[in-house]
Amino acid sequence: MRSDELVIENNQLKERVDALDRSLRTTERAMERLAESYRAVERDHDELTNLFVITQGLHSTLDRKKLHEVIRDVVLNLVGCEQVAHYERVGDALELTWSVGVEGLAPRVIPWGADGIGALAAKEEVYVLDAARFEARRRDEPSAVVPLRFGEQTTGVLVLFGLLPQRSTYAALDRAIFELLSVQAAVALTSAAFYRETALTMRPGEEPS
Amino acid sequence: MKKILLVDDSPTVLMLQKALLKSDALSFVTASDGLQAIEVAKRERPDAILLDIVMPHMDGIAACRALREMPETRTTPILMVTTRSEEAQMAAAKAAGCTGYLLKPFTKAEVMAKLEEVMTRAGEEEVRST
Repeated sequence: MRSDELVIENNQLKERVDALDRSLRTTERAMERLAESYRAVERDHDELTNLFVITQGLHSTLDRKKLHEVIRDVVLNLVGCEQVAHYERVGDALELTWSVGVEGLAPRVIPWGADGIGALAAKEEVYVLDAARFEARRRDEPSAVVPLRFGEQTTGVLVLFGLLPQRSTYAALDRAIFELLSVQAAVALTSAAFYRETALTMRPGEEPS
Repeated sequence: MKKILLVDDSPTVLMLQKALLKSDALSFVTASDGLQAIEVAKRERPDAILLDIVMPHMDGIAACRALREMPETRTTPILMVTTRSEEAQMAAAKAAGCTGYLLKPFTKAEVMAKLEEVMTRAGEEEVRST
């Protein structure tokens, strides 16, 4: 083979190698995109599974005590917050009904709209402390306030303080859980209250219709 | 199909674990406290156990200790599931014979990776011992 033919062949081979390199880089980028999509699908799946399980838990009973247990389980095990208080709205005040790990943090009665928790509750929207402020948070400063909304009414509030050590702030899933609790927990608790009232007014042997 | 025993006193957590881990390769049995876990493990012979620590009647650490004394579960991988990572609790779990631990709240990827790791290791150890 002549040297000029060898040069041509060499150039052609180089071009093929370059084309294969380009193709390999394109495939690698496509694989990265696919892997990212897969991770996003997994995150969505985790989020939807969490929300489905919470909804199912909240609507699987009309027993008020069991409902509060579900709410407590969700906050402790699914959100990862071990300091939480539940308040019920009674007139112009919020009255403490139960709490976990909040000794000295959660007052028994909070005037509706008053400074701090009362004011945050009166905004009637889910409040989550900004991630940048988490570390500097005072111990008694709530990290999240979740109003329990039944229609246009706020029937109670969940107040969250410290997170478990492995959690440094709230994630998108936690916010989704708060939004869900805000509506579904209120509906479930109100349904349980109606059911109880109905059951109390019935004659023995009669069942709520 | 691998059988996993899920142990937690919270029905919400059990429901979530089952929903997150749902797959054609896994089946589940459940228990809501340590005593029940021992009973179910003896009967069902699971391939791995996810064991909550704080439970009524018998906590996870005592249950783990008891499971390690039973021939049926002496080598079964046991993952302690806990909200806390305190050294004292982890040391107690380790002394009771647990294989590893998982911190709540967890994602599907975290549990699957851990389960796969401990079940593969257990399989390899079984091969070596035969």
